[in-house]
Amino acid sequence: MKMTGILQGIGFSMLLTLSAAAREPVASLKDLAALETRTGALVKRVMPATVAILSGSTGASGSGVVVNEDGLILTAAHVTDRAEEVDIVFPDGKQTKAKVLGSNYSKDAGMAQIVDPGPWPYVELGESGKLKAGDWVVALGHSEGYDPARTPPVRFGRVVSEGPGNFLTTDCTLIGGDSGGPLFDLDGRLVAINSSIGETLDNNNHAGIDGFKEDWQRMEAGESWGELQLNPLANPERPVIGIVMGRELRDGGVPVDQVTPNSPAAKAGIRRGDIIRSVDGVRVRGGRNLGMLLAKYSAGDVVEIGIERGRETTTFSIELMRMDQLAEELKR
Amino acid sequence: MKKIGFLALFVAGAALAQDVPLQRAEERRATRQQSQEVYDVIRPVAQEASASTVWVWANRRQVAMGTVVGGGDKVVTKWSEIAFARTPVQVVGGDGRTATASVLGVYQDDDIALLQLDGAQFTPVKWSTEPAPELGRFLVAAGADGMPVSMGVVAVAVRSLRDSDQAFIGITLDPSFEGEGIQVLELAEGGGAAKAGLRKGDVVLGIEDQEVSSPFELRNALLDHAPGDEITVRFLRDGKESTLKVELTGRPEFPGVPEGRLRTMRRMGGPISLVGRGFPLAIQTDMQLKPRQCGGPVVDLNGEVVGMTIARTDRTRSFILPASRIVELLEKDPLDPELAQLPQQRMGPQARVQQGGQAVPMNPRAAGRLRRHLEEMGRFLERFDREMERVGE
Repeated sequence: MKMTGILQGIGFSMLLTLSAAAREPVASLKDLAALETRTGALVKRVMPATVAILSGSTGASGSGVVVNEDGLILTAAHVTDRAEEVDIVFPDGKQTKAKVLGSNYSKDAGMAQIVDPGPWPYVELGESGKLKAGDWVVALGHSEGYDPARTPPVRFGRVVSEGPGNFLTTDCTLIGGDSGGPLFDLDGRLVAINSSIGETLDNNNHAGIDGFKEDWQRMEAGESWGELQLNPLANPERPVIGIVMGRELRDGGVPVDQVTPNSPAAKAGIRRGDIIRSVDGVRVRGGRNLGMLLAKYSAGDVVEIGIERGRETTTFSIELMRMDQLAEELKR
Repeated sequence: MKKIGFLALFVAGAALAQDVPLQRAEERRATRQQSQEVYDVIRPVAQEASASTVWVWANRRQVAMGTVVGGGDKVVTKWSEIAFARTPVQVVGGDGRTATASVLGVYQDDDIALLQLDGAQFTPVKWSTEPAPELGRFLVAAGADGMPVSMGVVAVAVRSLRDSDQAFIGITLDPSFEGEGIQVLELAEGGGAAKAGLRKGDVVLGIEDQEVSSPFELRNALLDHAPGDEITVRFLRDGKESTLKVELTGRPEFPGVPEGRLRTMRRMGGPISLVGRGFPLAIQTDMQLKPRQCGGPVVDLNGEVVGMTIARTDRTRSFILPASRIVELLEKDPLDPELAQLPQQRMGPQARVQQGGQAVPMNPRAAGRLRRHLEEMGRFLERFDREMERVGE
């Protein structure tokens, strides 16, 4: 991807006094063996529902996962892009057809429905919002396209970073053809859909399942919207506070040049001339850095923004809002 | 746990690059700490195997790992990594002891060289006698100095990567055909189907007891069979159902699909092994390795030596030869290294070993250049691919 290309060179070297502990510590061989057992068990259970998606019309080949008995498939929006009907191949070679439903391109979320009646093998949905760096996950997908001589390869890893938005990054290495394939927690519940990769081996990006849930009905009804933009600062659904930034100070502070009317910042009482110093205690190092810090959150999250006003330093609790929704409101 | 992270931390001691653009400091700290925890847990697991692990040097570079076999005076390693050695191969143990090695022979299909050591002797490895590890099992690649090289899972259970082990029936199918079964569009000349008397326009309904209604289902049905097997094909001709016996063949001789090669090469990320295909039996893993880390033993969490790393092939894949395969090979006489084929004939997904091809030793510099070119090309294609994706989206 994309993200790396655009964001290269941005370093985060903030010093935090917090000590961060991995969520599921591996303190002994027994712990690791328990992870292994869970991995082996879940793979057997979820693999039959991990399908290859072939689009004859566009020549694209990706993956998907069946999420109910009737054959509803979740995939990446870019896998079913511009296709109306796709071929579905199950790991055992069973082949069938699916009608492409809707997509939210901003979340790289897509849906398709198998035409033939079920029952089809399917997986349970989990939650992506709870995932934190260090949580163990398993990715599957038909790497480099469907290959009858093998089952879809298993990748074991962990979340290395959450966000932007509903996206998350893991070190489960992905490659072309894995797009649209499932990411599971160790209980075998679907937590995300494979989306894109970056330059390095631990930069594999997945669209979180919570984002799918938000848009479920619209997608199921066949609606398509949004734009595929993995640069988090250009994503129309990214969370904002609603200010126009002034020129960043040499020490990294970001002056507020304008406050968008009716925006979260306006409601919280941010004023022109305030200097933004921190986000949830993390020091801001310039305007771009501020954007990146906020991109890690989702709309609706409440963040503590540290503000320098004259000689005083205060914090404001601000509920983040989607940029496109703020723009909509301004038009009214 | 993965892998680059802890490698940089523990082996090279270098600072970690900022790899994930949006990773927060505390996320980085959490994952690093976790890597360290996992590393501490797997180190004792690979301890015993690491006494049977050596570094293999050729042309003044460490080019591969090796696994000590026989009475402790022999080593198996990756043939293609030492095939170009100009000077005698050196073997170095974790304790610093060295031996000069001569190539006793080569197991070409598996890309293994058997070395005879002159000098230090080491502890021979104890191969596991258990069946090959199942899907999802954890694997650790031992290092010579007691520091594990990498960790991964069984991504795909053991299978043949050899084209000639795949059975072919010798028909191409009409993709536009609707209805039950699959319609024969063309017959490969000299293929099993043509010899048996199948004709263009016939609609194949089943193979043995299995019904087939798509090309993939046909392919899957054939997976259970080997070249040389005779199978019953049930088909429709002019509305009448009948059966024929067809003898399956190996992959027919037609030129490889160039697109396939391009597709794979474009996916290359990081250095990959010169020979990474066509193994008669291999376990696929997501373990991250460098080409020069191949050839050493792989253990499961019980410390059982389940195989040996044999290749790094792309961003997502490495291959492991299962222990049983190596034991079986070592019972057979290897090929005289003078007669062994060199790796350039086995590169690329569609490249097949040309039977009876003459062994022409390749000059090591040319080999180095070749690898660099391939890597550059891979990087270029990867970049190109990304650009295209960006444009496309």
